[in-house]
Amino acid sequence: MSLNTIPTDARLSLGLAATLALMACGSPPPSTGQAVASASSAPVRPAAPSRTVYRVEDVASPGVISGRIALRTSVAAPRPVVPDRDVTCCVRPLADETLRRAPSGGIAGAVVYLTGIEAGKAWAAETSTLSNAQCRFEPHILVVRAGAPITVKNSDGCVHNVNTFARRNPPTNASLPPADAGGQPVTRTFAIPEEVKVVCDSHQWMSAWLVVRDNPYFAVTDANGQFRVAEVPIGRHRATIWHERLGRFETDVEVAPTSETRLDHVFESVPQ
Amino acid sequence: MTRHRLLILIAIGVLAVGAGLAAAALVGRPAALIARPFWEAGMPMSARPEPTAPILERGRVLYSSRCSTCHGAQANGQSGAALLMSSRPRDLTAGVFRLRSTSADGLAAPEDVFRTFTAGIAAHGMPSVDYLSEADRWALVLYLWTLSPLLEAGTVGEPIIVGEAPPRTPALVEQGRALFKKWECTTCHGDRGRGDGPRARELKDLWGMPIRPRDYTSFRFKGGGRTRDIVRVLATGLPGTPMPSVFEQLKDRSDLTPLWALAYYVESLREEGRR
Repeated sequence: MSLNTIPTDARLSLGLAATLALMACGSPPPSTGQAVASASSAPVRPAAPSRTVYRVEDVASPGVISGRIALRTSVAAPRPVVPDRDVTCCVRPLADETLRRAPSGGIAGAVVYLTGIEAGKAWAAETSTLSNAQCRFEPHILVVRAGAPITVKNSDGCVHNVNTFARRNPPTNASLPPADAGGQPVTRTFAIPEEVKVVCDSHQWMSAWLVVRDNPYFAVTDANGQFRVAEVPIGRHRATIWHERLGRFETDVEVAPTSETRLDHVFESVPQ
Repeated sequence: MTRHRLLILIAIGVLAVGAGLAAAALVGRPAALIARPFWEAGMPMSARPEPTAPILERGRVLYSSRCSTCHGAQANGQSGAALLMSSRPRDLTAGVFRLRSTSADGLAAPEDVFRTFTAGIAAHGMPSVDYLSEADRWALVLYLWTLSPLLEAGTVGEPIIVGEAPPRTPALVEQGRALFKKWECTTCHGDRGRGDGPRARELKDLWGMPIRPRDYTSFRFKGGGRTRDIVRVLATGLPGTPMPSVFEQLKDRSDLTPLWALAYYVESLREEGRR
């Protein structure tokens, strides 16, 4: 008899019996007197991950990094998603945005970012907003500044929710009723750089990614896979190329004064 | 005697010894049979101590003897006992705690985990460890806090005050029915709260595992079965699951009356399902 054939309640009881037996076998907890008596010694709580605060400062003779991110193997055109619920709200077939490859091979929605830069150009002043619009997230890929609030709003006539699959930041899940029914936008802040998948549990085809960065040296590739990162300090930098389906590639890139450095990368295939 | 019969006899013997030991443990700890406090923000507790080295070491020792059987030696929820459980033990290294008193835009408070240690999660196999002293429970909480970088880096959410229950009037239950529809609780929980909404079979948790929405006629409400427990879970959501928080949709966050209305309606569906 496999575990799966045991009824759930019986499995719970088995688990409980095993737990009880193990509790019974365990030795009684040792006295705490000693531990509490020496409460004056120094805490050993590990230090919080060092988070450098990015500084804005003038960049002398900055360079540019530009290039193209591509996928060698062609992929079948994704089938459009035909909403099967909230059809009055989700009116039209929706494109699968998780892997968009141009006929030339260029990949849209890849993010190129530099890590370890602590000072340089200013962040763009725009506020970060993730919208639920026509039963998709807009934009599908949103780079957000670590520690800065982002707004998540619902522009549709049906209820969405924003469920973030964060690992290094607190995962969070908020309901987003329609604005015309009194629904309020919510704000969220992500302190630690990471890529965070966002889903709406009401509409299983909906997904987006928040790419949290701690410096403004990043770009999202366009429909042809092209990107451009401007005002880059001269010198050697570590670059990461990330795509939600194709994975991550890291490389060094050398930026010379007032010149354009080429950074191309070709992903060989789609990981299964 | 055949080999088969011998194996059965050995199995019966092992079970009998286990049951005997369990019974002995319960007799030795009469407190284990006394009703425990509910999971409640107002639960009395000593002040949280500073995480000193001896306290953290004490927590580590207690974790090994009291928690690792289910939550695993690495505290990641992977253990032999976990295979026997229909509710999987939490991965404690993720820093995600579902029972909490704080808003969904931040972390649970250490006090919330202390409450869970004290109250247990009866319906889901998590035993109370209220037989440990408060100092020991704090040692466990503070030790757990060292296991997740998230807990070091994140900020605790805004405290949510459930408050006193408003009168259960038909008008308030009706308001709850309207909110149940407006917030589309039906998508997962179904029109009658039986956990059979159109998305019910497609939901996944933070770890990518299938998860089912609660059937209101079940007794197994994770956050507790009282009305105020339902209000609290509506406000906080259950982080790491598809259950969202609606706290931020309240016009006045100090007045949870709409959530009481919704909880009353949920209870009316539960009663209806049991008839």
